[in-house]
Amino acid sequence: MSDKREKLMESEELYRTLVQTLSDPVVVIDVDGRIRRANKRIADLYGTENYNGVLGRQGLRFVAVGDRRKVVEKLREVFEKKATAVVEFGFVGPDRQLRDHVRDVEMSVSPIRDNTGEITSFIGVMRDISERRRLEEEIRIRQEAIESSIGAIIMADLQGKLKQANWSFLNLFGYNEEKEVLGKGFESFWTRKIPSNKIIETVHSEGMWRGELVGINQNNGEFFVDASISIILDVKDEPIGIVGFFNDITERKQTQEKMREASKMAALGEFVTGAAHEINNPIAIISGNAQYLLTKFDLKTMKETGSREFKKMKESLEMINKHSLRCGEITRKLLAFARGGEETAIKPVKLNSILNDVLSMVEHQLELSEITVRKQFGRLPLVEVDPSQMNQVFMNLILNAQQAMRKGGKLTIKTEAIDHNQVQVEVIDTGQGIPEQNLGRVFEPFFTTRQPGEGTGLGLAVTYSIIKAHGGDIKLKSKPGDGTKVMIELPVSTEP
Amino acid sequence: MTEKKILIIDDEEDFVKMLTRNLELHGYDVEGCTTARQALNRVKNNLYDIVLVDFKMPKMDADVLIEKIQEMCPACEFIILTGFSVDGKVQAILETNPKVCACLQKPFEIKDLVSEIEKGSRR
Ligand SMILES: Nc1ncnc2c1ncn2[C@@H]1O[C@H](COP(=O)(O)OP(=O)(O)OP(=O)(O)O)[C@@H](O)[C@H]1O
Ligand SMILES: [Mg+2]
Repeated sequence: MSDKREKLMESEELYRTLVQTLSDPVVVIDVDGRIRRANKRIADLYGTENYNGVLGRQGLRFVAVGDRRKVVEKLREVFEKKATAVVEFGFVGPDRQLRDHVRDVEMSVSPIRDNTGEITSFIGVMRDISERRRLEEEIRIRQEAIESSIGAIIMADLQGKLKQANWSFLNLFGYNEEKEVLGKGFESFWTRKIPSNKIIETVHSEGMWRGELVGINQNNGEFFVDASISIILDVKDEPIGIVGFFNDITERKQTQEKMREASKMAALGEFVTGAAHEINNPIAIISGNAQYLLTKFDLKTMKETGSREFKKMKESLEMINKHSLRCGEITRKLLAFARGGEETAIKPVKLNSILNDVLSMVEHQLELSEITVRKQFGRLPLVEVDPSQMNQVFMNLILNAQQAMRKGGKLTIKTEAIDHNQVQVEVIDTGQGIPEQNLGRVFEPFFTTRQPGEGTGLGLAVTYSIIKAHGGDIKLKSKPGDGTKVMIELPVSTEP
Repeated sequence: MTEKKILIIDDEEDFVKMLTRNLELHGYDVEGCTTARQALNRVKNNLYDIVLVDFKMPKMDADVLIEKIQEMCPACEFIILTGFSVDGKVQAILETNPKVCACLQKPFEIKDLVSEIEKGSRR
């Protein structure tokens, strides 16, 4: 054996040992892409003892199909640049039974050159990065979970400076991009009334804080959130940051508020109903007796009928009667007002015929006040309402119009289907109108500009509560001197 | 024309008295009572053209009372008097029972009641 040959053998031996002892999987591939050598570690990649199976086979066979082109290009690059390069790919084991056994590997490929400097093969040292990949994927999913959460989530450093904010948080506060909030202090997101530094202190001392906060968005709008803020600990239980979770509860708060309001109204309604009944009975007796005496007086044909004394007595009785009936009028409207928020006897009706009914009831009065009536009735679908309450609504509006046109005028009643689930009724007069400063008050209970004894100021309050109870809306437009227009919108069906 | 016979049922005695006087003044033959039991007793022994009934009688709701009276006196007509508003329940009675001609809210004007009585017996 020549020296040279011996040397070669020696280096060959060294080379083999080296390859075998490396703790990472190693392959040697010739320029045709065939695997010439491999160490035992290769077997670890696909989970069998037998690694000889790979020898002599095409290296690409062990590369996941989708990664093959990438690997080939990398090898070409190594070949051309004669320098080490790194490529990642999915390693597929040779065993058909273990076909799905794909590992993520990172391979650093170096060229091997002969004496002449020509590249004869490549050596690839691989590292199984499946675990790292899995962790990366896990982190990515966690990030994604935070990002997709409906609840607003932020991460901050120990001082409360924002380091991360999810989409919900940005959306809640009216930001478009995360970078707009990064670095901002925790306190800058809440109204000044909230002692934010106290909250951070509590988080530090107790590990968490829970409560309601009032947030301020980019447009200075306020909203309510339910907040849970807690400390983030590292593996050694050292605090490393703060995480906050916020739920928008504005809507919930508003409904609660409305429900409180509604139950207050219901309680008030019950009270008013009871009181009105208690009052109506004695008033009925008072006025009934006055009327009895008045009739008696009228039937008397004695000569004192003409006397002053007699007239005054009669007048007193008339006053008793008139004002008892006035009390009755008030309690009646109070009852109607209270009933606005109550269960109603709803059924499908023709709104136009209700209007006709009401108009025929006041026809005579309108004529006497020299008011001409113009009806512009559109084709309406049946509307689900409480007919007696609607009667009252239109009666109130028409009487108001009449009272505003003391010297005569024109009353226009317009009905129209706005769309398939909404109708509109307009009551328009050419009366004195409502001065600007009163416009905001006309719906208030007991607001009236009429002479004492003439109006209770409950007409529009009742009307409003009835329309609202029907899920509708009422608006008023007026110009002093020109007249007033009342617009009512009603849903065709009370079913939402 | 024979004078109409009227029965007033209301738990408040003064109310019954007041109404009796008024209606007598208008020429009706009027009787009054303050409990549902008295009312049923009266109806058993007398024939009334019209019964005026308070909607809220203690111990018996007006709709039940009306039905019981109707069993004994199918021709009887009714006018409901109420201290409450004319709500869904009253409305329902008015619509379903043809013998119930009207409902008046207290206080009311006697002349309105008289005109309902006259209308009622014409129907
Ligand atoms: N069509 C109208 N034109 C001018 N003023 C009006 C009109 N409707 C209402 N108002 C004003 O609004 C006030 C309140 O009206 P509302 O119907 O609530 O009570 P009222 O008419 O005064 O009393 P009530 O209706 O109980 O008899 C009126 O006193 C009047 O000043
Ligand atoms: Mg009014």
